Amino acid sequence: MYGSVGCNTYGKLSKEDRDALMSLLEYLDGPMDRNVDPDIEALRLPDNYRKRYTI
Amino acid sequence: MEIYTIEDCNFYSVLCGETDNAKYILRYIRSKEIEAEFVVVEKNYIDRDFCVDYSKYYSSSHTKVSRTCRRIHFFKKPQSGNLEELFKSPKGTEVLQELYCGFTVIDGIYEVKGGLRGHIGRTVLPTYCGHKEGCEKRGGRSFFHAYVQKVSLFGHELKLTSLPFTTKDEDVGMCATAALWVAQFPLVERHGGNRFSQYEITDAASRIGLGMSGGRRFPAGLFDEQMTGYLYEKGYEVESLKADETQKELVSEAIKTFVNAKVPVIASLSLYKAEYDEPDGHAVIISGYSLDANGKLDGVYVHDDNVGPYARVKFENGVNDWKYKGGEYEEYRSIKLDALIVPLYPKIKLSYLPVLKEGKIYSKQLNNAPYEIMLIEGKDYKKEVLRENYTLFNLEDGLDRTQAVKEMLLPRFIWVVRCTYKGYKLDFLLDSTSIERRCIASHCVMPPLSEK
Repeated sequence: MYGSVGCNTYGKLSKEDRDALMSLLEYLDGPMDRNVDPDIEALRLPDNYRKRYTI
Repeated sequence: MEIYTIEDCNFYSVLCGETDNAKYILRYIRSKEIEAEFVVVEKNYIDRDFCVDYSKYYSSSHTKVSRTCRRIHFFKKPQSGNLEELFKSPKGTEVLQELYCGFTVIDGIYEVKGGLRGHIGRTVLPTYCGHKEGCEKRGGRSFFHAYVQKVSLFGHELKLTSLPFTTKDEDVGMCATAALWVAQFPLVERHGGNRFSQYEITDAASRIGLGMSGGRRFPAGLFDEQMTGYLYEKGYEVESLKADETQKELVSEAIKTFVNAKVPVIASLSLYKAEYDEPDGHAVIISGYSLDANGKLDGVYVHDDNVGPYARVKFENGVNDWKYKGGEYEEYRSIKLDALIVPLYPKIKLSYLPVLKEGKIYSKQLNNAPYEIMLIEGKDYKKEVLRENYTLFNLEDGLDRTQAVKEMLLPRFIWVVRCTYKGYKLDFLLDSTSIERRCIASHCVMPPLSEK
């Protein structure tokens, strides 16, 4: 189990830190988050983007 | 053998014209980082690309254009002896290699009253940080140059690692063609396949959506769908990203990710003469980037056919707002970065935006830990682990999995989300060959004890 091993890497993490990491690992075991992130979506080039390169 | 000092020769006459590009090349090779002092002229040089353009275009022109080219090499000053002696000596190669500062090919040469005119074609010049392969960081700058150019000169075999550049040959293509021409070098070097001349690129791209260019295909200012269509046709996938002004940080990150991955990024620019004018569309290749003292992206280097290779661009008001450091495009009021067009290996199915979203999620889960996204070859990831003598602790059980990761079968390309959490470097390796996010491995990357 994560954190129970006597590895000094993790021994220095607080319980909260380890819990956060644990929660992330649980997420990684599951499916991708399908919610739309507006910040990321802002980088999606719109379908109607059209430009001519003339110079 | 024609050897001249740059000081004493008529440089622009050697380059067949006092163009803005020729002026840029002169400034570049004379800069304190390069310090070239000599030119060596190879006359009647046969250039592979121009041979194609000659046979497909110039051979049927009434104006007499030379089939052969001129290749101009640049050298630093030798500490002792002279270049001619070095060229004649079988032992001169090593010293010549040290002194070598690249070349430019002048093609499409024709006579005018009082001289010759030509077009600056394939040009390979060193980056400011030297001749080493890969992205080198010197003083906070990072460069992109991924193609080893071998040069045979009077029996000496020289090498230069750089990203080749060309100006547009306005008879057969405009900026988009020149950008695609440059982009193909690292792509072909890495993924195989053939390279194409400017004529061939315009010819193929302008057949996509025939009539789009107002009837005639030559000379053609390509549309972006013709550029992406061309890349699809050549077997690549294309990521097109909007350089959204509200997401400057993310746009900067995207540039860093792809330049670090040695991927040629085509920047789609709008140049405005006046605020409400219809802008001029321009395409350039982002060939490097620069970081400020805090590690933030503060500029890029571009292969701009109107300017030259590794032209310095600084950001006026963030990553979207460009200003050329050399004062180019002074006639324009502003230059805006609109989009990034990124050609990728087709088996990379997991696209950038979902990976970026994953990075944000991991960061949020880890109390907003800083993160970066890397696109890296599986073998290079293993190489890095070996070279840096990293120990990899599995995040699930905390066990040392260094050897297991080295022995792990990895896809050719992996996305790596690297979070810095409480001083630890955490890597999440994502399978790039799957549209669904699949985490192949996750571990804490520890440097050797002495470096902690």
